[in-house]
Amino acid sequence: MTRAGASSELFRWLKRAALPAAIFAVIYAWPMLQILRSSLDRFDPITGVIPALAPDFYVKFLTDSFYLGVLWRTVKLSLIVTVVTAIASYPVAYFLVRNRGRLRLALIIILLIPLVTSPVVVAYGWLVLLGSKGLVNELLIALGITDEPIKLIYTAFTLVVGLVEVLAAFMVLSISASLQNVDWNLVLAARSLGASGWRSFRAVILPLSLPGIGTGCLLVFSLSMSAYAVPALIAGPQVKVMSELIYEQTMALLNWPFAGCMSIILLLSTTGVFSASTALARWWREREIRQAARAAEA
Amino acid sequence: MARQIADRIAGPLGSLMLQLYIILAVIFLVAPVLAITAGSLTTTQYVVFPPQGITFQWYLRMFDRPEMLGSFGLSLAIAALAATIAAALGLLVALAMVRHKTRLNHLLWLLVVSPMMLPSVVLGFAFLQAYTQMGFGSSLLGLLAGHVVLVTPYAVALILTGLRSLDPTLELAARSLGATPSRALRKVTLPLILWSVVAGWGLAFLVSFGDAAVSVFLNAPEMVTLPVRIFDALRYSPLNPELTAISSGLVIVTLIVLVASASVMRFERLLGGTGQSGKPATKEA
Repeated sequence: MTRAGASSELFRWLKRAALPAAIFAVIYAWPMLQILRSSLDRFDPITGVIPALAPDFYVKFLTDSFYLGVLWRTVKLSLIVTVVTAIASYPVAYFLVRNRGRLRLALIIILLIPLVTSPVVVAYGWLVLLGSKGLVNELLIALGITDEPIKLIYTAFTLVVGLVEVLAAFMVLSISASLQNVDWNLVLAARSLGASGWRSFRAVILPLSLPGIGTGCLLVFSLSMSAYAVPALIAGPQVKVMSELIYEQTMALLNWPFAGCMSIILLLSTTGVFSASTALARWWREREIRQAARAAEA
Repeated sequence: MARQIADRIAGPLGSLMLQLYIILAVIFLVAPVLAITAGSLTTTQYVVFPPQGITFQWYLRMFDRPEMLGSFGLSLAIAALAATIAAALGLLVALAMVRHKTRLNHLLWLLVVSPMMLPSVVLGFAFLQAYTQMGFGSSLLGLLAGHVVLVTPYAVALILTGLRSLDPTLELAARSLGATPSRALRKVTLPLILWSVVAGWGLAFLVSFGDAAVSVFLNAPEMVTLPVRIFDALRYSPLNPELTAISSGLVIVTLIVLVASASVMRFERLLGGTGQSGKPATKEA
């Protein structure tokens, strides 16, 4: 391409992209940079924010067992939600690929309902179902499993249930997308070579759908780490997560530097867990390949 | 073919168990939304599911609470406006990314799509802080700007799916027949990807309409969106049937938009497999 051609190409790109890019730079990128910058400010409860370049709040967060506990709880709960969602979604994704037409469309719409309904409404629905006078407790009492209502809401358990329900669509759709591209003749080949149904699933389909599981896990994990309305409404004050701490510091205590600092720590922990899991997955795959190579040699 | 093979792996017993599992999964997915809608019909003073007796009094009471109706209207207006801006920006971004090969695309992608990956509480807080400095924090403009950032990624993602599944030769054909670039875009490309623009608009609308985490920061006392109002009220009086009625009002609007977008959008495309990989989905049927 000639130089003039390249520059007119850039000009045409700019004609389309300049407006959205400029708008997003002002209303999105600038605020995000501001957070990073302001997380280094100091804060006085009486006079308010004092401009500075001091890592005080990072030190405070990383040396206080309360804050570290909340961070650890957020990571732990998000990991549990991710694993549970992956396992629970797999059969649904499998079913989705197996079927076509109306049934499949209906299932996709049902999957999207909790996702697109306001999280506030979904959380509220769980309160109604799991409360002490809710359907689940009434059922348990009617069946004689328990004599009095079990405390189901305002626990970590409800939080996991609620998040799994809201986020399942991401997992199902990612796994389906990769199952969709599986060459089913490979399964036929495995079967004709004498592999059992379970074995051909484990040796052929499961490995081929791993990329989809990976994408789904990434999405579900980052969305659980950042969930706000669901934890605030159905997990209660005993099960506090990071996003609630950030909200509290901003709106109740007006300590914006500390809120900024916790925002950065939340972002870093999410990316940290990502990188760690990607590295682990790569190491695992290389180990498998080495083992297979060794087995082939022997 | 996939179906027969899939069945052969599972065997008849496995297929039956899979079907049972799907039924349970569907119940699990719709349970809370169903509980809210049905529970709002109860005659008791607190919400129960299944409802005891049936009454519409809680719905009617909404009309005695002008602040709730005002919030409902505000939520609708913000969502419609934010979705429209997001769809327009999304179309520009998607066209720039698909039509022109430049490294700046990656930067543009990061700038416009990354809000989807960030915690909305972080976004909300960042917007409050920066918009206040710029002089429009806690104002209608600030709330709208925040929502545009929040929902544009969804519009971009869907419009990109539409553009990528389009046969580029169609527009070339129009050009070779003498159409100007803008006329080819208007007469050929846009009608063909309209489903993805509408679906992108719908998804953006729903995300904005349901959002509480960003709005909670940007609301002003006289300007509160409906999810935030429900959210605040719920913290003080959970299981109040009036709130359920309002919440199911939210659900009803959501379902209407979802089903309407489903009828124009080929949801199959969300699964990939078609378009990008070039394998037509009907081949296997």
